[in-house]
Amino acid sequence: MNDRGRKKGFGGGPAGAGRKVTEVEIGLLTTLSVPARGSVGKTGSWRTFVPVIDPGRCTKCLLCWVYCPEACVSRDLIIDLDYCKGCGICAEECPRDAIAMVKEEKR
Amino acid sequence: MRIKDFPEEELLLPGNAACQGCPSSMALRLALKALGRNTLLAVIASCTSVLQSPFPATAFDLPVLNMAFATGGATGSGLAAAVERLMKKGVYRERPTVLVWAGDGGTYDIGIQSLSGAAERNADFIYVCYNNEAYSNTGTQRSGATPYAAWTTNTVKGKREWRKDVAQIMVAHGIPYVATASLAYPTDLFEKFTRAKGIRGTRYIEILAPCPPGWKFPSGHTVKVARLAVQTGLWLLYEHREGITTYTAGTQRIIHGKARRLPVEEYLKAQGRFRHLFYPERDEERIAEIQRRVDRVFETLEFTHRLKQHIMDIEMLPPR
Ligand SMILES: Cc1ncc(C[n+]2csc(CCOP(=O)(O)OP(=O)(O)O)c2C)c(N)n1
Ligand code: SF4
Ligand code: SF4
Ligand SMILES: [Mg+2]
Repeated sequence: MNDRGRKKGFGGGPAGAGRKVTEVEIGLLTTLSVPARGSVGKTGSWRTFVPVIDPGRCTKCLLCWVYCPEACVSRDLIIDLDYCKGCGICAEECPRDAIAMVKEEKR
Repeated sequence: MRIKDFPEEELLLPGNAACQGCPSSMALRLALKALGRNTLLAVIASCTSVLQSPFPATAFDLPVLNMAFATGGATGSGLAAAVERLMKKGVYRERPTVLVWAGDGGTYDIGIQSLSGAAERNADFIYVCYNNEAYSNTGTQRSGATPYAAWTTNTVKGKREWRKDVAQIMVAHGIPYVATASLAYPTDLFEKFTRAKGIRGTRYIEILAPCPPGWKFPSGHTVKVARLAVQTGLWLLYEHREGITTYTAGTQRIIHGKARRLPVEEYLKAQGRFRHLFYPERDEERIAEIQRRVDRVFETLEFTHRLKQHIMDIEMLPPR
């Protein structure tokens, strides 16, 4: 994948566990997975409906950010369409009805 | 705590193997926001084992230990002991939080003896049961947490038994912190995790986790169904510390008379797993039975609240 696990130890590790993990040790830990976005690929392809935010209605309450189970709405309310699964929670929970779920043309 | 103040850092990364609208990933994401990066996570066999994604990548950006189904309590105890030892050796600058994450099958059924033992020893970890009220990962079989009348693949006409209440069993253990939470009340959930983090000993938090494929509702309704569970009184939000139970958020509002409790029907109708209570014809008897149970619980809760208010009013009177 990438060399992050090797550089930082156990995927970043708890604060203070900044002990250097040597390559030999890593070599033994063959089942150690490396943290990555898109760990099963671009899950955006699962989508049928795509969320579209209307900035005119949005009050930046951040409810869509907090409820997105996929962590793919950013704090400045940009949706990462590579990974958005189109579940529709953000649209359902928006108190201002500022998010529409729009049928997506297949790419 | 306001939503704006929740940390921005994501420890659960997008593009993972969870279903659309998955409550388990939503719950874990929020819990990890509250607990922070200095957490050692043990995942007990469940949907959460799978949604991490397969080797060599993982969606969890913190140390994770995947453990067998019955081992939640023992895993937490072992990790807590290891942390204690490593703290003494000076390996950690700051004590990491040990978090055991298990489903309802892994908690109510197969894991309860291990959890009970750990709680009795007051081992130092947070145990979370994310309760999707069935064995979701293996295709929705009934568990001890499945509610009365709910469909699962092995209760096709609806479960005949009532669910048990493990949060209350944990209260009976006398551990320092027990809380229930809901995905529809994220600040309440966040604050409960923050409080739990500040306490040592066994802490138990149970989160109701409405599962779209298992409960048969559209994936966009996860939060809505979670909210209805609280609004109808079928899921109680509280925390229990030092012998005192405090009801919180939506549940508190109902008890204090600030919100109307909705009929259970509104919750049941929102889910396909209760469809047989309404189609082909209404099953008045079972719907009424569920309503009666909730009514009885709230009669007691509201009575106790009024009694307390009354006593406080009397104590406030000037002495005669
Ligand atoms: C001893 C044992 N029996 C059965 C299984 C298969 N199994 C894996 S996950 C799972 C369901 C877990 O249900 P629950 O704890 O409610 O978590 P959920 O999948 O609902 O998130 C089962 C039966 C197992 N891993 N180990
Ligand atoms: S939930 Fe709606 S109003 Fe709130 S930040 Fe998101 S889009 Fe804006
Ligand atoms: S549709 Fe679902 S996955 Fe996509 S941004 Fe909204 S909440 Fe997140
Ligand atoms: Mg379950």
